[in-house]
Amino acid sequence: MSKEKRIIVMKKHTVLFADDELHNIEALFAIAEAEGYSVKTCRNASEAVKMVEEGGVDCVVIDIMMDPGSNLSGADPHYAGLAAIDRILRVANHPPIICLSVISDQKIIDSLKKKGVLYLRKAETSTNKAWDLIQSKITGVYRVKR
Amino acid sequence: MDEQPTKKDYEHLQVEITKLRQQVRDLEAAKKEADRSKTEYTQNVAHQLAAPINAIKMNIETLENPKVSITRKQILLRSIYSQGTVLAHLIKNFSLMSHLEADHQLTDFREQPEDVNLYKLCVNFSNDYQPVGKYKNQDIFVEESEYKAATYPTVYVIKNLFAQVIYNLLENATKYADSDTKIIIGLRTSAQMIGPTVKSYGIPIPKDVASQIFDRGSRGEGARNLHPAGTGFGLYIARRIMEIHGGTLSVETNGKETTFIVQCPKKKG
Repeated sequence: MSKEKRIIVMKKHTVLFADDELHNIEALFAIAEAEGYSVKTCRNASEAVKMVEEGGVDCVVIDIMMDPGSNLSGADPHYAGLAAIDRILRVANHPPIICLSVISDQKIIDSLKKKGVLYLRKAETSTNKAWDLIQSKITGVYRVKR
Repeated sequence: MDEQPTKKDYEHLQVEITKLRQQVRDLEAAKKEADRSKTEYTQNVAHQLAAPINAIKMNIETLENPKVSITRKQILLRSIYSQGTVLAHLIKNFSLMSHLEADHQLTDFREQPEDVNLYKLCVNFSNDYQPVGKYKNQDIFVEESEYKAATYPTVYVIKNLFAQVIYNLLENATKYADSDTKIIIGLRTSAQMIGPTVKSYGIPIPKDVASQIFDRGSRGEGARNLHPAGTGFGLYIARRIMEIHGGTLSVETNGKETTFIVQCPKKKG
């Protein structure tokens, strides 16, 4: 019996980083890329929603304080990311969402948790830990490496 | 013998009490508003300082990751440098505020005015800010021909303070100019005055609010939308610095084109 050759093609997952200041996500971008992920970035809330609606995004990492952009122009720029999250949650089979921000308002954080959004506070979560959590949202597995 | 208060006296007293109560309510409202703006200001300052520090911290942590390529690590190092530049100038802005608010004159500063070659200074700033502009693929360059035509002029200023003016203008330009655009540092001269100009293309500043953008804490609607966090101090500080040098800072807007004009008095003799 001849040996059957099987080629397993691993799907390259795509992470979308939405932040008005790209230097904030430069480190996570580098790790995602090094881990073989495809990375997309955008600078405003409307663009983030549009990119998710277009498909091909496996995880969204989004800031709260950002430019609302043209389709969410009524949103308060201080909370435009929240408006984008609500819109993304309405997209069928939407990808997991991770909110990476500096806000400390517990009401907002609790409300995000209720919606199934993981909240990570910038500066408080180490880059490696943040990446592990992002990866676990995509793969469903949290690996304790360190 | 003491007179008994009349009904009119009581009515008058009642009116006075009502007025006082209203004054107390007004003061309470003013205090609440002051507390709110103080909290907002503190949050803004904290956010402004935390953002570059956090980016630097994350980047350093990632430099240790063996999986990250050398090319990407070089990008992270450039980012650390540019965030360091932003942070240094932010801290300087905050420390300058107290001097500028106290109506200090040039002689009140530790450093003394000196002759500063405008071209060299602008080239240095342009190089310093280049990595910041790279995030949006903005090219910052100095229009050398204009400086050459004016035989590379000097101005008599406190170098560190004057530097902060240019820094603040470049910080503004990189923040609010569109991606893939040029930020041009030119030169404008008249019979009495001379100084650099910073021209960029991005969020339009409506002509009717152009004069207000130099007010303390003022931020235009377009600027607030694009970058919600911000103190609105940069242009205020820049103008105050120019005022104490006997100079001016003004703005010209034409749709998406914005030019800030720094003018110092020419040296006599």
